[in-house]
Amino acid sequence: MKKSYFFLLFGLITAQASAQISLNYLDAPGTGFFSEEARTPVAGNMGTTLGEQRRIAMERAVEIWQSHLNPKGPVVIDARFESLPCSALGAVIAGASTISAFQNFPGAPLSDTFYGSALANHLAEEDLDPARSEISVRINAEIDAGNCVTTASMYYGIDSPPPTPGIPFFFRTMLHEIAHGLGFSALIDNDSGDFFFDNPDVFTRNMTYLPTGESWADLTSAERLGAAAAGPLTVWGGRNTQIGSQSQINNGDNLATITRTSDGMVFPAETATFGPRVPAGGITAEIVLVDDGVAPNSDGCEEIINAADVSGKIALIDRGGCDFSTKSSRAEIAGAVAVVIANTNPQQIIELGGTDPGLSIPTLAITLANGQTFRSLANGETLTLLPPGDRPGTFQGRPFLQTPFAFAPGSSISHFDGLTSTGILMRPDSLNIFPADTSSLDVTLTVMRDLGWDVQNIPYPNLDYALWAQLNQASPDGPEDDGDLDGHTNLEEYAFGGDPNDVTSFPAPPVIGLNAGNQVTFDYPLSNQAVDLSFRLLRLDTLPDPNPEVIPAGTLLDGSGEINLMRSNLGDLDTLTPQAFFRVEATRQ
Amino acid sequence: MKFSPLKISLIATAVFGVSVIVYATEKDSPSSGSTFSTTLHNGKIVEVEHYANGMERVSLENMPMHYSVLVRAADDSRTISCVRGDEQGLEGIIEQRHAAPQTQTPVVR
Repeated sequence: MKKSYFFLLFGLITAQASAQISLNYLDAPGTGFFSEEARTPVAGNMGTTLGEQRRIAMERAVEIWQSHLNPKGPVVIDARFESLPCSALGAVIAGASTISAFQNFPGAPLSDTFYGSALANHLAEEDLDPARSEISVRINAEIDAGNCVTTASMYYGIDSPPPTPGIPFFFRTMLHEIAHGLGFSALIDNDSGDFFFDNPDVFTRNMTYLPTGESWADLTSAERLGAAAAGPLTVWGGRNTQIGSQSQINNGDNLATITRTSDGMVFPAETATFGPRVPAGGITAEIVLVDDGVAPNSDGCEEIINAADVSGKIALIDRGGCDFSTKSSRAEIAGAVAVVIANTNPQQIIELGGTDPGLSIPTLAITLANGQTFRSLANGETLTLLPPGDRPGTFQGRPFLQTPFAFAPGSSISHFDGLTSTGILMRPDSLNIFPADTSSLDVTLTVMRDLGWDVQNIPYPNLDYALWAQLNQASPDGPEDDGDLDGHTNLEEYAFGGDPNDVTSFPAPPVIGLNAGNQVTFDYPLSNQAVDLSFRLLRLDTLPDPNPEVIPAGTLLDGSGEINLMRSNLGDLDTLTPQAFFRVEATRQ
Repeated sequence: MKFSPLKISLIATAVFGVSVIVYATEKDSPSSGSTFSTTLHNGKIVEVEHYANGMERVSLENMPMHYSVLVRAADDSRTISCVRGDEQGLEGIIEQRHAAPQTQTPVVR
């Protein structure tokens, strides 16, 4: 009887069926998505009418999001063509947003935090508001009608981008805009910096302001407004993205950073095209303003006369008067270990062009405003110059979000910054620059995972313990340390999943289940990235058992995530002994 | 760098037919009663729906919406970018960006 109870309980454990992202076309017959205007098939879109081509491209975009997000609640997208602003100067192509936002719903990972309808339904695993759709998409009907600019029509191909960048790429635009509706959107008020409705949204919670290391959710409204126009000082702080971006963002950008030792303040900088790059370990030294004895004394165009001060330091030099490489050469002769050149514009960084094969110290460019900050530093203040690394457009693996120096109308923090790779879906200009794979969702997928979507198929990079400890900022960082005092060492959290700084985050317990054919299975978590660990499952009859049985490796239930479940088959229920102990063992090489 | 083998483990005990762990979750139904109100928040009309289980649904008059915008520059070149705004402000954004095209990076080239 008890045995059947066991059956019953495990019989209740069933896989959650994936819900669907569906489209609700709101156009009248013969218009918009139902236009019967004849068209020739184009680039993977075999539709023969305008309406059919629109539906095929739209449904392909939805299908791609469906395949990656595995929604567990319904997502209905209201889509329509309508008249939106257009003129000879330009046109709105399309727009999208969530229709509602929810907080404190069943299954919400964070309390007092807003989630867009689609994501909230997924997390709650039900339709929280059956009376309403989740996402609204509006597309400008005027463009294809030839009523604005001089573009004859949008491009409805799928497999390859339009022949010229200025033609709206409908399929890629839909991928981008739907992402906003799915949650890639900060709901804060652009004008006031206030939260959406007195509480932060989950996107805002994941935004990190580098100078203070705080989440935007912890800044004041005024601070958020300032951060929105502070230049590239805000990154996406989500952990999946921090790890995943290693293999997702790589374009050889020249971004570098300067950190002030006293308070950790981070300043953006650009690497010169001449001279070496800042070495991998960075350069830490005092910064000293040069004096070349000829007004303006700080332009470094003549022999530097305060070489005794400059030697062994970072030379601060003002723009103007001579070639950039000449300034760096003068500083090198004076014994400087690096050069920082301040622009004449308070808010812009200039790219330092030129050549000098003989130069052996790196040169970085900064804004005039930051040059003035460095000029006023007290004696003994040190800076650390850091190289672009192999993940340009990121800081410690976290991609920069769009926070331009001038927060013009329409600017949005809900995009990656232009410093990230060209062609990344959620750059604001991504609709002008396309990747070779027009279906690519790149690092946008890891952001979706950070937000709470059940994203599959992320190509996570390999990790070893040292890199894991660095990325997770484990403190202390030894494998046997337990900084968060949750009873699990760093190494256990590395091997089986857990945050080394969160006492509530630790490896998930194994689960024993009964499956088809009376087969008992054992599911346990393991790192899918760790290249320095090996795992095995042991069966013990007693504790201790000097001769445990090794259970053959099973099947990885999800081979794409950071931590995944391994399922091993224990055998037929009727053949198992009444009691057994199982040990999952991870061995570090 | 070589490390000494170090073993760590998760231990699970399975006592077949004797004891089990029961997970029972019962969700509050969002439709189990709610109060609906329309209010003004930061100058915008807001629909707020409070549910008995503590959940809250909020819809603004104009939810923050992102628009892809095609702008023709003075040299007749075209750029497309995504902006946030409401429909009333979009023509102004297009005019402004036509007059002074924006770069996405702070770098002067």
